[in-house]
Order: sequence, then C-alpha cells, then structure tokens
Amino acid sequence: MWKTIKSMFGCDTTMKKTPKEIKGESIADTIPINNNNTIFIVVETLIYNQNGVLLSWAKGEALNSGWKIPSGIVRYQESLRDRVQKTLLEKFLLLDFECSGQPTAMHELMFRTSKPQAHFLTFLFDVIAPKDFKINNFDKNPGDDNYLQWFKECPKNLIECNTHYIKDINRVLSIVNQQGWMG
Amino acid sequence: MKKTIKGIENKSIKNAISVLDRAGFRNNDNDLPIDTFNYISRITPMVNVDILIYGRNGVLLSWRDDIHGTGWHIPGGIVRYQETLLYRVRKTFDNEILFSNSECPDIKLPDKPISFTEGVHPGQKIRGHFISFLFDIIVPSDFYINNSGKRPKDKGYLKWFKTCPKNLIKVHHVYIKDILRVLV
Repeated sequence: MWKTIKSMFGCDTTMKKTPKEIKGESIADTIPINNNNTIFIVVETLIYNQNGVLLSWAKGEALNSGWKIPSGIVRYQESLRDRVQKTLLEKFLLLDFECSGQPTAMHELMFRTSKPQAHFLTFLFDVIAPKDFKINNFDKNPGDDNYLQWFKECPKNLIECNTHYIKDINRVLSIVNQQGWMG
Repeated sequence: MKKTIKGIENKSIKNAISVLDRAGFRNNDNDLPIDTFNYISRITPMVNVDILIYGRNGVLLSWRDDIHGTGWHIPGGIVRYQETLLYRVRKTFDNEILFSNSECPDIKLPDKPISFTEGVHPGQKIRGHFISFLFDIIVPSDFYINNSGKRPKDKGYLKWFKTCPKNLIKVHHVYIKDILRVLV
C-alpha cells in the first residue's frame, strides 16, 4: 500500500510498505552502522542523451527485479553534487556530462514492514551524457544485476521504489524524442 | 583469513553494531539516547527542518546556546528515523512555539518546503553534516508568544524581530535572505 504526502518541488513523496531490503548497493557494507536509526540520503542520476534514458537492471530477491535509475548513497560530509559525480565516475566512467545544478525532484521513502527497516531521502538529478558516450556492460548479460540499457520509452518493469519517477523519466524522454534533438 | 575493515575483524564490527542496536531504543518522542545520537551524527548526514515563522510582528526567532553557537536562530528540529518532514514541522511548532495544548485554528501549516540547503562542517566533531529543509508559516497578528517562564538568554526564548539580528547564529546565515524577504 502506498501512502502519499505532498513534498517539495510540487511532487509527491511516498511512504511504502515494502520488501525486506533494498537490493543493489549494500548499505551495511558501505556505512558501518545499523540502519535502524539512520535516514539515508540518496542521489538518483537520470542520465539521458539522444539514445534515450539509461537504466540499470536490479536483480532483486526481496524487491521485484526491474529497471532502476542509477543511484548512490551520500556519505558523511559529502555534497549531493559530489556523490552524483562519484556515481557517474564509478559506475559509468563518465567524466564529461552536463548535470542539473539543483535536484529536479525529491522523495521521502520509508520501508515500514521490513527488517532491517529503512528510511531514504532521494534527490533526482538530470544528467545529459555526451553524444558519443557508450555504455560498457563488461561481461554482464541481460538479467544480471547492474546490466545497463538505453530506453526510448519508460519500461513497464521499473522497480517499485522508482515508480514515483515515471513522470520524470517521461519528461526527459519527451525532450529526447523531440525530432532533431542532439543533446 | 578473517575478513577485516581497516584491520578490525568483521565479527567485532557486528558486535559493535549489535551493542548500538541495543543502545538505540527510543523514548516516546522517538529520540535516541544522546550518546547514540551523537555517534550517528558523526558518521551520517542528519536531516532537519527549519521553520520561518512570520507575521505583522516580524520574524519569530528563538535563542540558542549549544554546539552550533550562541545567538538567535530559526526554530527547527531534527527529523527522526521513519518520520516525515511534515510530521517534524508540526511537532517542532507544537513543542517549541505553542508549548501548551493551545490550538491555533487560523494557522495553516505548510505542505512543502520552500528550499533546502546542505551544511557541511568539517571541523565539527559531531553534527557535522546537515540537509536542512526550510518551511514557512504565517501567523495572525494576534498570535501570542508563550515563553512559559523563560527569560532572555534562556535556551528556546522566543522573540519577534522587525530586522534581522546581527547575532543570528552562523549556521543560519544561509537564511538571512529569506528572513529579509519576509520582513519586507
């Protein structure tokens, strides 16, 4: 069941009953503390160019598997922008990009029925990748965790905790799909 | 070979986390014990709400005297685990401004923040990283401040200002333009 409350930027924030854990980057490995007491700050990078929107496959056990917006957890005394840069560099070796100065959306996410419980504040940044940016899946195959793919339309199997970003994905896709848009 | 992080065995880290879990019980207001809270504020960003309260009398500020300095500040509160920003706004307004059970039906609480700022304070041992959301509340001209026995220089003492005070605490200097905007 989703509960919705109004938030900043005129968008909705979401509270959700959920699965047992967040799949993907292991929070426990990243930050050595129990996550029963901590609100995690997350940047989500909505990367696009003339090829469409770049999404990554999340192979979940507790969460349904699906496509997700690449993201990173903000570390202590690190700015949101720094984490955006590090996420782009570490996950995509992407150094040359154009990023929105401010986040374009923010959401509060709470996972109430799970152990460990979780509470996230997510900030979405729009990132325009260079025209010649090529994704490198190394030896990953479709269906593998973190497999990357461009999309010209929003996939139906977006992971549940990213569905509040559908309108943002469609917003940038409307730019991408404009005839003659070259980034 | 035992898995370690910076020379500390994983087992020791798990034990430490287990101790923290036990030390992380909360009171009725969802507050952590202060030592646990201070530890967490040394390793993860904190989220807080600040409330710019204003009306015909000016801007309402509160006296502060703690690690962040001594001076006037915009009333605010730290968002607890598993509570929403709006819940903490309401709670802070009730606890720090209204104090008692008085109800103010004419006051409309905000439904979204007007801005957010990132505060990173590298030299500070605790509470060195904040994500702060600023909300605003307009109060009627007959809005009564209840200082409930507090005197000037007491922590939490409330006062109206028609101009931005010079001794606004440093971490709230980012809000000077917001204060001046509502004072116009």
